[in-house]
Order: sequence, then C-alpha cells, then structure tokens
Amino acid sequence: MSLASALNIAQSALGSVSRQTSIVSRNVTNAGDSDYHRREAALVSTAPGLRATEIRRAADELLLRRNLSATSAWSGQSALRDGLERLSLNIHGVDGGASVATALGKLSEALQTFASSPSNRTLATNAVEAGRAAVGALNTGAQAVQTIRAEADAGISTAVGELRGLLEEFGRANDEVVLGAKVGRDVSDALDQRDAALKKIAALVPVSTFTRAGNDAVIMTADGATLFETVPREISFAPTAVFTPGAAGNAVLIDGVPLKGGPNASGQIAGLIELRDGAALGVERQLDEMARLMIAAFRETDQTGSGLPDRAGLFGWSGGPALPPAGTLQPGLAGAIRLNAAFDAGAGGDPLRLRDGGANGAAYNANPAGNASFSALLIRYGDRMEEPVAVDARAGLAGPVSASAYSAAAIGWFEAARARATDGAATTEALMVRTGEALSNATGVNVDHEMSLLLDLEHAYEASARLIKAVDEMLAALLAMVR
Amino acid sequence: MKISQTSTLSLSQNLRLSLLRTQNELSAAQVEVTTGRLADRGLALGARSSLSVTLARDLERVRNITDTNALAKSRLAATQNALGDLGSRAQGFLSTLTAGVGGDAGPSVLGGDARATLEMMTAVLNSALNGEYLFAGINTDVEPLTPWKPGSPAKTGFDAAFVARFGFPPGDPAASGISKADMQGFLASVEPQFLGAGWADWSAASDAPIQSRIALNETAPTSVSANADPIRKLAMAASTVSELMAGALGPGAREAVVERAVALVSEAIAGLGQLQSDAGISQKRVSEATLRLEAQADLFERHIGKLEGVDPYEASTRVSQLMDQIEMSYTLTARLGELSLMRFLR
Amino acid sequence: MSLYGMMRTGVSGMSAQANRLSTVADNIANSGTTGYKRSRAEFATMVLPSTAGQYASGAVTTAVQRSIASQGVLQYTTSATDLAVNGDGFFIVQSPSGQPFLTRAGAFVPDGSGRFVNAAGYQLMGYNFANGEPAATANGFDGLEPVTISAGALAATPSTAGAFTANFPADAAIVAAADLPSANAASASYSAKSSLVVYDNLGGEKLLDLYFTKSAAGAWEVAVFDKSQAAAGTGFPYASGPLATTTLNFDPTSGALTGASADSIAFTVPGGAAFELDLGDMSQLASPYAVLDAGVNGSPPSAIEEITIAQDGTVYGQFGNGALKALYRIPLATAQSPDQFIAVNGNVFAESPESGGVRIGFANEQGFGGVISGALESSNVDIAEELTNMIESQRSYTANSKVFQTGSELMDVLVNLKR
Repeated sequence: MSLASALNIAQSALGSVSRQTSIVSRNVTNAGDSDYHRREAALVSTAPGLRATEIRRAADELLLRRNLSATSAWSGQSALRDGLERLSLNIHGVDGGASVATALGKLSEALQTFASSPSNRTLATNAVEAGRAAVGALNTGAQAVQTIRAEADAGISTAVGELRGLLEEFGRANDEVVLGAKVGRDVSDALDQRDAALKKIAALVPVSTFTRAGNDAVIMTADGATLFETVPREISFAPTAVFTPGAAGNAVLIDGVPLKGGPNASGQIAGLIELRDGAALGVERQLDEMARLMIAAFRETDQTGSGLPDRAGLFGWSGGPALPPAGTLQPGLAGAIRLNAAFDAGAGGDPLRLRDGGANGAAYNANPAGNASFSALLIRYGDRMEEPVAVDARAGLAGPVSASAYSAAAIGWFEAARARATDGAATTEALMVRTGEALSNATGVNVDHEMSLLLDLEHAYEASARLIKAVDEMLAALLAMVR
Repeated sequence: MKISQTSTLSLSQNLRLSLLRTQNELSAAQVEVTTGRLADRGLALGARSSLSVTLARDLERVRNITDTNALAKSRLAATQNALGDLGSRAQGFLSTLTAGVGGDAGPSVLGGDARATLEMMTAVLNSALNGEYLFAGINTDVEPLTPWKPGSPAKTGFDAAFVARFGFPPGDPAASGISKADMQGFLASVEPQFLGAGWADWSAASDAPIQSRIALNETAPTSVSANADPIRKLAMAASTVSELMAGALGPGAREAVVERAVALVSEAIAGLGQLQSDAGISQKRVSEATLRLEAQADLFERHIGKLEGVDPYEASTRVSQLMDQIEMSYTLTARLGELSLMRFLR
Repeated sequence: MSLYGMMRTGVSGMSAQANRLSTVADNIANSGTTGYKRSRAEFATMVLPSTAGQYASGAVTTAVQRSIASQGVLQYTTSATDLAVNGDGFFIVQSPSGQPFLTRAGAFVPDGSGRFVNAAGYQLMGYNFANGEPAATANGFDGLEPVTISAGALAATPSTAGAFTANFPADAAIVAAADLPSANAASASYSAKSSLVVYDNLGGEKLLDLYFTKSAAGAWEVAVFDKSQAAAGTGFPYASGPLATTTLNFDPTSGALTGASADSIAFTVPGGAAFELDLGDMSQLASPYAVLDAGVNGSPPSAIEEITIAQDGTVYGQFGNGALKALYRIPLATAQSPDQFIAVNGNVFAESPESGGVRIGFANEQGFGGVISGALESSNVDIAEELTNMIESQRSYTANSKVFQTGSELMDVLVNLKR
C-alpha cells in the first residue's frame, strides 16, 4: 500500500468516527424515549482501506411481542376496571352508600319503624320517602348505566378513530421500512416509528404480527382478522347516541370481523365493549329486576275476594297499574319505576295509604275501618321484601331470591366483576411493566455505556489525526528531497 | 460478546414506578389504619361483598327492631300496669259487693263504689301512651271507651231497655215492686248490650290487638283491646250496680243486681288475671326477642368485623414499612442520580 | 563496438527516462482524477551482436503499461448516482457518438433527458427490465441501452401470484352447507377471515376477502370474494358470487394438507391478471386461527421519487407509494487482460487485440465485483511512489547524460589525435 492510501484510510477513519459519534449522540439524545431503540455502528471493511458504517438497531422481537400482548391485556383490563370503578361510584356511591341495597335496607327499616306505630303520619311519610329514595337509587342507577354505556360507546368511537390514524401511521413507517430494506438504507427511525405505532395499536386491540419478505409487517388481531396488510383495513363502527335498555351496542368490525369483548377483554376497545355490553348491561338488567321485585313486593291485592288482579302499589311504572309479568326481565324498568303519586303527600297523595292500601280503589283497601294502628299490611310488605321469588336468569343471578337479597347479590356480582378486572389489570400491569423493562433493557440506551463508547471514539479520532499528521510529515520530507 | 445491560430509561422508570406503587399502597394502608376497615371493601371482598352488604343491612334492621321493641315493651308495661290497676279496683269492688250481699254496705255505698269503679275503668282504659290509646286495639287514634254518663249511647240504651221492660225508669217509685226474678230476667236481657253487639256503643276499640314485628321473622300482639271479655264484664257489673243501686229498687231486685254483679266481677277478676298473664307472655316474648336481637347484632358486628375489619397493628406496621420503603426509594434515587459516568468525564 | 554506439546507447537511456518522467508527470497530474489508472514505463534491452572481444552496446526501449486492473481507494460521497466497482469489472459507457467504452469513473449525474452521464460526458449503459428479466450478452454490447430515468414515469405491475399460510383451529365448529360463504347467503358464517391486497392491470389496489370455513371434519372451504362487492357491514351477501372456491383437506394425524388435497386457488383478479394463491403450507392444528405468512407480487402505479442502485447493479426506481421497481440492471465488463486496454480520453478504455475480447456479466457474479452506490474510486496513483520514481529517473537521466558526455569527450580525444 501507499502513503496516499494510508492518508485515505485515515480520512475514512475520521469519517467513520464522526458517524459513530453522531450515533452515540443520537443514542444519548433519545435515552429518555421509550420507543427509541439503541443504534450501534457496526464497522464493515468492504474494500482495502475502506470501512463502511452500518447502523444496527437493537431489537428483540420476542420481548416486543410479549410486551405487546401484555400491553393489550393491561389496557383492556384497565379500561374495564376504570369503567367499573366509575359505574360503582355512580350506582353504589362511596362505600355502597347510594346503592339500591342500602336504599332497600333503609326502606325496610322505615317500614318497621312505621309498623311499630302505624298511626304516626310522620313515620308514614318517612317510609314513603324511603321508598322514594329507593326509586331514586334505581332511577339514578339506570341513568348512570346509560351514561356509562354512552361514555364507553363514545370511548370506542374515539379509540376506533385513533386506531385508524395509528394504522395510517404504521403504514407510512412500514412503507419506508420496506423501501429502505430494499435499497439498504438506514431504516432505524422508520422501525422505531413502526414499533411505536404498533405499541399504541396493541393498547387498543390485541395484535399478532409477522413480517414478510423485505421486512414488510402484517398486523392481525389476536382472532386473526386483518388490521394491516400493505394497506390499513377498514374498521367500521357506528356509535349509538341513546341506548335502548337491554340492547347491546354496535359491534366494531375490523375488516368485516366483529371484535369480541368478554371478561378477559384484551385491548382498550374490547375492554370498552365488555364494559358497554357485558358489565354495564348486566348491572342494568339487575337494576331492572330489582325494580320489578320491588313493584311486586309492594303490590296491592284484592281484599274483597272478588278475584281482582294484583296492582302496583307504592311503586308504579309506565305499564301500571298492572304488575310487570312475574319472573321475566322487563328492560328499562329501573328507569321507568316511579313512586306512586297516591302515596306521595307532595303530589296530593296520602302516605297512610301505605298502612291501609287502597291506592287502586276501595277493593284494595285492607283497612276499611281506618284503624290507626293497623300494621298487618306493613308487616306483610316487610315480609314480602324477604320472600324468595323467581327471577330472570338473563340478569345473571339465579333465583328464587328475595328483593332485598337480590339487591345485595347484585352488589356481590358487580364487585366480583370489578375485583376480577382490578386483579386482571394489576397482574397484566406487572407483566407489562416487567416486559417493558426487559425490552427497554434489551433495546434501550444506557448513557454510561454510550459515554464510554464516546471515550473510545475520542481515542480513535486522535489516533487517526495523528496518522494523517505523520503521513503529511512523510510526504513533506519526500518533497523536500525533490527540491 | 453479549452483555446484558440496563437501559437508563428503565433504571429511572423502575424507581419512579415502584415509588408510585408504594405511595398508592401507603394511602390505602393509611385509610385502613384510621378507619380500621378495608380501604376498598368491594375490591377486597369481590363476590363476598353481597355478604357484607347483607350483614350491614341486617345489623341495621336488627338495631331498628330493637328500638321498635322498646316501644312495644313500654306499651306492654303500661298495659300491664293498667290491667293491674283494673284488677285491684275490681277486687275492691268485689269486696264492696260482697259486703253488700251481707247487708253491711248500703245501696248508696255500693252505687258510689260502682261509679268510682266505672270512672276509674274509663280513665284507665282511655289512657294513652305516645299518642296512642293503649286499649284501643288497632284503632288507636280514637278514645276506646265512651264515659258512662247521661246521654252516652250506652247509658241511653240501658235506660231505654229498662223503660221498655218495666215501663218506668229505675228512679221511679214503682221500681220497688220489681221482683228478684224480674230483675234477673232484665239483667239477662241487657247482657248483650255489654257482652254482645251493644258493646260497640261503649267502645270504639277494635278487637284485633296491635301486631308488632319483634324479631326479623317473628310478630306478636303487643296490646290488649278494651273489648276483652273481663273488661266488658267489669263494665257491666259496675254500670248495672251504679245505675240500679241509685234507684228505688226493692231488696229482692237489688239482691239480684248484686248477685249478678258479684258473679260478673269474679269472672272479670279471673279474666283480667288471664289478660295480665297474656300481656306478660307478650312482654316476655318481646324482651326475649330483644335479647336475641342484641345477640344477633353482636354476631353480625363480629362477622362484619371479620369480613371487612383490618388488624390495626398489622395496618400500622404496614404503614411504617411502606414509609421506610419510600424513604429508601428516595435515597436510592438520589444516590443513583449521582452515580453517572458523566461526573467523571470532565 | 564504437564510441558512437555508446553515445547512442546513452541517448536511448535518456529518452527512456524522459518517457518514464512523462508517465510520472501524467500520474501526478491525474492523481486526483476519479477512475484514473496509473501508467508506468517499463524498459526492455536492445542487444547488438557482439563478439567475445568486442562489446557492442545496445539500447533500451520503453513500453508504457497501465495498472488498469488495480483498484484505487474508494471514497464515499453523498450522491446515490456516484458509482464505484469494488472488485473486478468496468462500467459500460458510450460516447455521445454511440461508441461503447469501459470505465471505472462512476461519477454519474442524470442529464436533462434522464441519462446518466459521467464527468467526461459518457453515458452509462444497462439492460432494461422493460425487455424482460435481463440476461447479460456474454461477449457483445447487444441489448444495452443508456440508463434513462425520467422522473415523471409511472409504473404498475399486476399481481399474478401470492402465498398465504395460516393455521386453522382444529376444534372449529362445522358450518352447515347452506351457510357456507360459497353459497353467498345473508346467513353465511365462517370460521376465519383475512384479506389481501392485490393489484389489477392498472395497478389499482383490490382487496380480496378470504373466507375459511370448516365444512366437515378435516375439510376447509376457501372462498375468495372481491371486497368491493361486499354488502355494508358484515359483507354477506356479496353483489357477485365468489371469485373462486376450493376445499382443503387436512390429514388428521399430521395436521398438514393431504397429498390429494388442493393446495392453491386460482382466479382472475377483477380487472387484473390471472392470479394463483399458494395455500400449500396451511395447517390444521389445535391452536387458534393465526396467519403466519401472506404475500403477493405486483405493485401500484406511481412516479419515481428516488433512484437507488443496489450492489448487484440493479437500478431501482423508488415510487411514491413505497413500491420499488427494478428498472435497469447495470452490467459490468472485463476482459482477459484489462491492463492491456487502450486508454482513451475521459478515463475510458477500449478493448485492444492484446486485452482479449470483452466479457459482460453482472455484479457479484462470475468473478465481478459489486457495484457500490455513493462511492467513487479514486486514482490508484501513489504520489510518494511517483516522486520516488521521479527522483530515480532524474538520477538515471543524469547518469545517461554522463555516459553521453563521456563518449563525447572520448570523441574529442579521438578527433584531436589527428591534429
């Protein structure tokens, strides 16, 4: 070799050191970016005296995949948990203070107090007010469920829009990766972008990915529906403005395949679907059943023996004065249940009707004599609240069970779902954090490491510069000789 | 060579996350220490929340019934007192009557005692507790007994019956001619006015006593109605004696009146005793039920405590442990922040 | 033999050194010329017949040799159209008059009409993919044309083949015949669905819906529909029936396709070419539906955004939509003895009788080097060596002149003998 080539090599060494330095500085700059994967400058001797810098991007497909699935699971469960927590606060209040079960307990107490002095109008008003509170709890609950369902639906709509955007983003990054892979360009940034988009997509829907020739990525959902292949697939979802009680919302169609919810929902969208069509719908049905049981418990019966049908008493509803069919779920009843105006002093009614009956006419009056301490009916109401009756299994609770036990069981059902979601969120969060940490360890930047690399590079640069100087001196010596 | 490394990001994030988690736990533990209960019951109990709700509600109901039992108890005690008073009054009346039979007490004495008995009875039976008439059955907002006085329906009916029978009022001098048998016949004929349907003129009370729930699934009668037989009998004895002794009846007729009165009062005394013991049984049931309820309440409380209670020692140990952890975390963060190659590269 | 002979020998020595100095001058002058190959003067003796007692001095002849085959150092640049050959081989270029030459000076720049022209005005030659997959004509320049990239050109390739690999869940429920997607009824149900993008003749993206439905134990119906015909929402019924259906039969023991089963599905892409989708690697195992691989050829139309040249000499047009299309392949040429090429103006070489015939091949094949984009080959001149040579020539020139001077002085002596 010649001096010139020595000079050239030193020069290219300077170039490669500066390229490596730029990579180190890029690494350090992005040390705080969780989506950034560490780059490494690999030097390749391609020709005599020539070193090309190839940029390698640290990656761990397996860890990434585990992190993605943990992210999906966590975001699904946490969406469900957050929704259930909100629902819990809205329908149960702090520590269950506003729940139907509590209201029913209060009602039964008020009845008992009233029954012990049935002549006391204040106590009668109290009992009726307790009934109003129970109606209020049901109405608020039904409203809260509607709100939560509408919110979940809006959340799904937002998430679907976000998903569409992310798939576009993924597509752009993927195009660049495919292109770069074909021409041997540095695609690390595009890969970072692609992985970052993928992580965000995984938070919305559970994904499985594979890469085809040329690092062209394809995303499928965990059920195998195509999300992205060359182009993003169509994701259709029609938001529902107002939910019909008892009816499920619209499905999210990914490439025509509906996305499923389920208690183990994975991905934010599935979590919200489960909240909207699973938990919230279950709560709504149970509230409807509670309303039905309450109307039935406070029904008025014919006292004349002429076989008149039973009528709604303290609690009325839109279909009154007939009773809702026994043992059958009546969607929307929790929202439709009302305090019967005949008992409501504020609406011109008489609270003492609770003692005597007769809101549906004289035939239903159990105390025609108007005895002030007539307590039989009150005691019967109290008994009926504790009397097991058939319930609709569609609401998720098995019968026969009493109205008051049903309201307690509903809390148990709900809290079990919430505990499961919270537990699921906690475990998957731990997994997500763990895998995220492992992934970050495998692909992230350690600033100290980069700094020590920088020291090496400084030395290499100095050495190359020294070399150039030496060659320069040698050539100078030679030229001096020619003089 | 593959060296496993730790990324700077995960190093700092790890600390931050664990700090957050510990702080979350700390806030929950603090709540548990101060309240002695689980910070989030629903979450900790899951499906068992329904048990917790049921227990809490049953506890409230049991306490409520205990409260309402106190009312029933005081009503029964008042009834018991009243019945005792009535009994002793009847006893006194009987002794007066017995004296009358022996001729030791004149008609005016008998009549006076009978009126006193009648008044006392009216007062006792019309006594009220907490705005409710004790002996009104369930018709507690109406005074059960209309006082025996001129113009009262019962007295008017009695007077009319007398006039119808004999053609003159008891005060008429002709009354002295009424024979013992006539008088006996008359007394038998007015009996329904007291012991039968005519009692409605006297009493506005209902036959049915007040029923009260004294335990979660137990009801008991907790009042005595003024329509009880012994009371009617006493009323009949007292009213007949007070009416007829004041009149101009002959000795035979008087004897018939007094004899009938003695028989009625004796029966009434026995009956009152029976009523007292019935009320006593109710009292006992109520107080037993209350005891049972209190035991139940204890049980519920213990249950609730077991279900959602937190051992305060354990919780406070946890708090201090968590605080230690957080402090350690702070120290570590500070130390790790200083631990950087950068410090040596200047 | 004689003094004259000796003097002439000295003169020949001087002229030989002058030649050598000329090459040194040339080398130093061109030390910065891309693709320049240094020349070097080699000397040969010319011997006159002599007898044992009488030595007749001969002369020295000069032959100029070029180190054409030796590679210069590669220098990296930032232009993708700067090319260098790393290894053996020369780019084929043509002069504006159309005559082919070989060169290693690869500083090409597109001219106004899209041709790649180097610093000396020569155009780069290549095989066009438009004429089919290029094959090098081993011993001639036939089929080569100037590499011309016009930026506005649109290109599209219809899809003709693809492959799809997935696992079908062995425990899937069997769908009744009337509800199979192939019946295209509104009540149709399916076990799994995926979709693929294919390109029609005009490069339009066509979405194909692939329905996989378990029709019997171990038998899966594959139905391909044109997505644009789908009913809104769920898809069925499509406005037109399936493009193709077939049934795959799986071996109950291995879960792979049975030997007799269909292993592909063929149909014509709507508005496109005949298309065959390879399904040969499908499996039916007790695992959820999962797509393991899917791919089709073809590309959508769009304008070239950027030119990239791969190491094998393929010139790719990078289209706006990300598709990459091979446009030209740049061949490399060499000969038996490249050092014997005739150097022509502008760093190009022409074959000579001594070099042997030109052989054309592709980069990275048959002993050719690789084409490196974004690099230039600097001259293989080493200044130090040239300077040394120069000093050496100078000294030997002086020595030769001394010989001549000595002969001349002896002649003087001889002439003066006769005074």
